Amino acid sequence: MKNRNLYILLTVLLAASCSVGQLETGIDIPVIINSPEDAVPGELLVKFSPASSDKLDAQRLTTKASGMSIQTRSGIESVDAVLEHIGLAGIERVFPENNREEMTREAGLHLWYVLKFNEATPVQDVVSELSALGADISKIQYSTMIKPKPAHEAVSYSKVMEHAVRAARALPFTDPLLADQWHYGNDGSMQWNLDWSRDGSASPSEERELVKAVVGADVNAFEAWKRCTGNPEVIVAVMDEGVMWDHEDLKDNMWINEGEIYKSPYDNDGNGYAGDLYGFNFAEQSAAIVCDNNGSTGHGTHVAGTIAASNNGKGVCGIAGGDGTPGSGVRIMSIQIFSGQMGVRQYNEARGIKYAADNGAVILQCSWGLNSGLADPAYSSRGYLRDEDWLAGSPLEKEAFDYFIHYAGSPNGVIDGGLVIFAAGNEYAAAACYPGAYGDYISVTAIAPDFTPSSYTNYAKGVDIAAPGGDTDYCGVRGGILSTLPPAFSNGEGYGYMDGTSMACPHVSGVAALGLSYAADQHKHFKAADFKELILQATGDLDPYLTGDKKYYKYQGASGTAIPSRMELASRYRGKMGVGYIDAAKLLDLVDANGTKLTLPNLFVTAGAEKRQSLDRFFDGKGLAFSVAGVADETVAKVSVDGNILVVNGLKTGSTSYTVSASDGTSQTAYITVRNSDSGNL
Amino acid sequence: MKNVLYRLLLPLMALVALSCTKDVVAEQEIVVDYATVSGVWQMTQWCGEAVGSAQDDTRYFYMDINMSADESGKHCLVLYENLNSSKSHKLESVYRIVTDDSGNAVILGYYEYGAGAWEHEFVISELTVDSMTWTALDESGDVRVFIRCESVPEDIVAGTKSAY
Repeated sequence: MKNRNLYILLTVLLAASCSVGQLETGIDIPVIINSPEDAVPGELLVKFSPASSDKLDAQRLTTKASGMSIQTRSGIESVDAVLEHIGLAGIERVFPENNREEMTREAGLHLWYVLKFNEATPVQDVVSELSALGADISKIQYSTMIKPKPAHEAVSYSKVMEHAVRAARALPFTDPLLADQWHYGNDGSMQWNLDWSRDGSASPSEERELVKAVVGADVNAFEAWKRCTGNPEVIVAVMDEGVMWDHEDLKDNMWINEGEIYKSPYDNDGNGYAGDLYGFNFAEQSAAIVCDNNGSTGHGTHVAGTIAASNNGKGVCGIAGGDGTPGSGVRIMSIQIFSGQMGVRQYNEARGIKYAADNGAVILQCSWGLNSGLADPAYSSRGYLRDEDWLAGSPLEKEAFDYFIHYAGSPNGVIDGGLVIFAAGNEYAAAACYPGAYGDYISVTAIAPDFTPSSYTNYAKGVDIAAPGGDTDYCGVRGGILSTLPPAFSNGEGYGYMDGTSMACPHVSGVAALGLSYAADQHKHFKAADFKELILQATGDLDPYLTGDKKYYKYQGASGTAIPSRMELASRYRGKMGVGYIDAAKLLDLVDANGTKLTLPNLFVTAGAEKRQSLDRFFDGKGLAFSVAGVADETVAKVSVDGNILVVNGLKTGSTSYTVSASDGTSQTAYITVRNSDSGNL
Repeated sequence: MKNVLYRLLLPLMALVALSCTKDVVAEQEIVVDYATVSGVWQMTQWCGEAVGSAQDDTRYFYMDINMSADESGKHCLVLYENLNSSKSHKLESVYRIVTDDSGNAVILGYYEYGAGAWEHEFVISELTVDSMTWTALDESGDVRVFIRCESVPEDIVAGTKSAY
């Protein structure tokens, strides 16, 4: 039952750094070198300096023109001398070229390369030679693996003897298992007995204790669903084990890459990845999304169900799963980084983060992380405790997350930028795990059905917000989180229980997705940083519930036994579970009170290029037809409408106003700027 | 009567003369350095076209150039523009000013959060107290004229990405 961890065994790689490089602009940039401990042999990650960009591009073009499938030179003389010396097998860009190359370059991600060489060559020797080159290289990083922890089993729905009685109260959807999803709408009816007699510290009168759930210990989804149930414009990337895309309760809400054919050997849509219909399997570098191979746990499918299981009268509900109409919920994109017992190379993880942003995801749901820096060393290794250590050890990962935060979404869509949401971790420790503990991301702690902190949850340093994660050690299996599972891990049923901050995290992702769906319905626009602040304001206060002690049975993984344990709630947890527990209805209230109305945007187009822009979101009303009402100077740009898509072709340098009319009689005007260069900036 | 008129006109003439003098001084080109280009600038012309002056032209492009280097020696330049969106887009970057072989003052830089370089390097010319011209080194037709402003309008700043 202890399937609350999908944690990483990645050894902490404390970084050392030295300053040898210098940017074209004259500003020192250090070459970062993390520890070679656990480095993958025969591989190295290098970020070249911006001044090397032209040479790198020229060499890539030369390789492409020659018909060679593998590039073996960088194009930089000093670097190539070293590569020749070490017997380079290949050099490739970490992030493949796609239709977002301009943003990739603006973020500097085009400068990251993977070097592959003979595994017999000591990787430290290669680092030594490259780091001596100075100005051509700005960062060097050892290639490492992110590995999943050994898996534990979920509990299938039917194994639980006592279920909630559906007829006891009116529910917003007819999905038969919704009555057991206390985490969406908790009526306080659940109760359980704690047999405390094994503790030895309790008096006889305390030996058996009846504990009850508390009304409202949930995400308040029932209230929020009165206003919004999801919007397919919002895409959530589930970075996890593969999501079971053909599950009866998920298939209608899976993201579909329209230009692609599942498992095709060709990159039909030009996004840099072949055959990626539902996402991509970055663990195995394959388009095949796998959820039930040996060693898997169903974790990704469970997480996805909490966010967007269809509210369709079958199985369970999802927080932003729609109203039962096919495709009415938010979309789930599967970014698979674990497959069975197989982990992912960190540079492939970084590729997955960027893939999510480049393909439309605006929320990155991450129920994984390193161990807490304050984890009990008797049970688990310790991860990073300070920002600077994580930053120094994982520069590529950090830059990929930066890209997601800054380049996901659109200035002309519901959100400009992306949200990164992590589980706080399950080591009972007073510090969240990294990367989630870093301030740019949301780190989620877990609560039980009575508002108490889940026994296992990390807390205090680095945490941001709480959400239901269940606590089966405290209140039994029914006190876990009920969601979708692959049949292989649920006795063939497709549904079952798990608990952990891994389960709390998708509750915040789901509420965030519901809030963005509501904003999309209202044609509103938010900056990602502003929306993150709204999420942290949309909370209830946990502290009044944190009194006295909480008793539970601490699971001992090594021995398989459970030991009676006690948590001092007031002294250890009050004020340390984040800003409070997430409340979906409050977030919708905040969406009503904030944001800006989307209007027809100004557009920047390169002469000779085409730009397409969806029009629906700029006009109130549904099912509108659009037409171009006027273009002031038709020699500058050709403007037309294809269905609900505005099509702009840049003709010559200049600018012109354009007006679009909708079938409800409204019209809006904006400006088109046409220039020879790709960027409207500097 | 003439005397009275003269007495009334004299201060007025002096004011006119003073303001003319000031105009002349303002028109004079000044040397390009970190101090003289610092401040808030609004782009008014690009490639010979006016930007944002027509009644229905909602476009804007502001630069807030910081003269002082930060603790790490970086000079910062912040852009606020909406050329490709309905809301303002904020970009932070680091810049420096150098002199090329021809004696031109050239400004170059890169964006924060990944060190991607600017698309162009620009020659700064015709710098006065109130205006300046930037010309892209690699695209001579890309000429941008800026005028000095007191500040970036609050509603534009309020619509920016705080994370950037």
